[in-house]
Order: sequence, then structure tokens, then C-alpha cells
Amino acid sequence: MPEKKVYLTIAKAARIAVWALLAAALLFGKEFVAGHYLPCFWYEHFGWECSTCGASRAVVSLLSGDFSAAVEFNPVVTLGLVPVFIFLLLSDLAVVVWNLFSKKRRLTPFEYCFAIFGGSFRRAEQEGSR
Amino acid sequence: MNPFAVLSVGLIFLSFGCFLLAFFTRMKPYAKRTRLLCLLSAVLSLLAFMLWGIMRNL
Repeated sequence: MPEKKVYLTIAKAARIAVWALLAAALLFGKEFVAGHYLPCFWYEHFGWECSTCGASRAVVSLLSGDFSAAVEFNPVVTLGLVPVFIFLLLSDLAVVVWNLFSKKRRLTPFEYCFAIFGGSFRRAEQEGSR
Repeated sequence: MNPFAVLSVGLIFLSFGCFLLAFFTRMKPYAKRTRLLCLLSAVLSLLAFMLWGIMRNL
């Protein structure tokens, strides 16, 4: 498979997975997540909280609209990662909708993530310039 | 709030800014440098995130 197709296919698969997970979280709700918290390996074995401890509780709190509790559980995930993730998803959605109506194909920042970490820069540049 | 959490959030936003810069300058002659800046800041923010994980226990 050509290089361009590989990273664009991975980006497409990741987009579908992320949107499906988000839809499942919004549909089946926080009760499912709250009832199936994953135990932290680090905390169970060493008794220390890791960087992502409290992230699920923070997301559940955010879904319930309790922002201060989310910050209490994990401030870095709530204030740093969640806004960045939401921005990436919304910009991706905007460009995907734009591509439906436009003949000129535009690269989304979400796809560019895969180009940057997959090393397909030249292809990404060509894709963006077409 | 823990100062290391503030540092980590700041670095996450900095690296996101670098990512956007790399994205918008991807067809410019200096694209390679902005891409490198993006990757370096991503590594830095990852280290800060791990540091926050250590310091939240102390």
C-alpha cells in the first residue's frame, strides 16, 4: 500500500473509532463508565497514583456537568487534554463536512497527527497542496 | 492546584500551539523546523506529564 494511503487509512480508522466511542459514551452514558472503572496497575502494585489516575472519574464528572469535581480528580486531563482533544475532533468534523461539498480535498489536523508521527511528511504536504 | 499540574497543562497547550504552527506551515520552506519544534515540545510535555504523576504523590 502506498505511504499516503497507509496514514490516511489509519487516520480514517482512528476517526471512526473515536467518534464511535464518543457516541457510545454519550448514548450509554456515564453510568456504564462509572460501573466499569479500570483498575490502575501502578496504584494497585505500588500504592502511588500515576499521571492518568482519576481521568475516568474526571470524564464522568465532566459528562455530569460537575467541572470542579473533574478538576479535583485530575486537573491535567480536565484542563489540558480534554480541550485539546475536543478541538481536534471538532476541527476534524468541520473539515470532513467541508470536503463533502468541496472538490478540493483539505488535510485535517487530525490526519496530520498521523502524518507527523508516521513520518509521511512529503505525502502530507502533497495532500494538503492538492 | 499543584504547580506541576499547572506546568504540565501549560506545556500541553504550548505543544498544541506548536502542532498548529507545524500544521499551518506544512508547505512553507521552513516546515521541517516547525515540525521538529512540534515533536520536541510534545516530548517535553510528555515528560512534564510524567513529572506531575510523580509529584502528585509527594
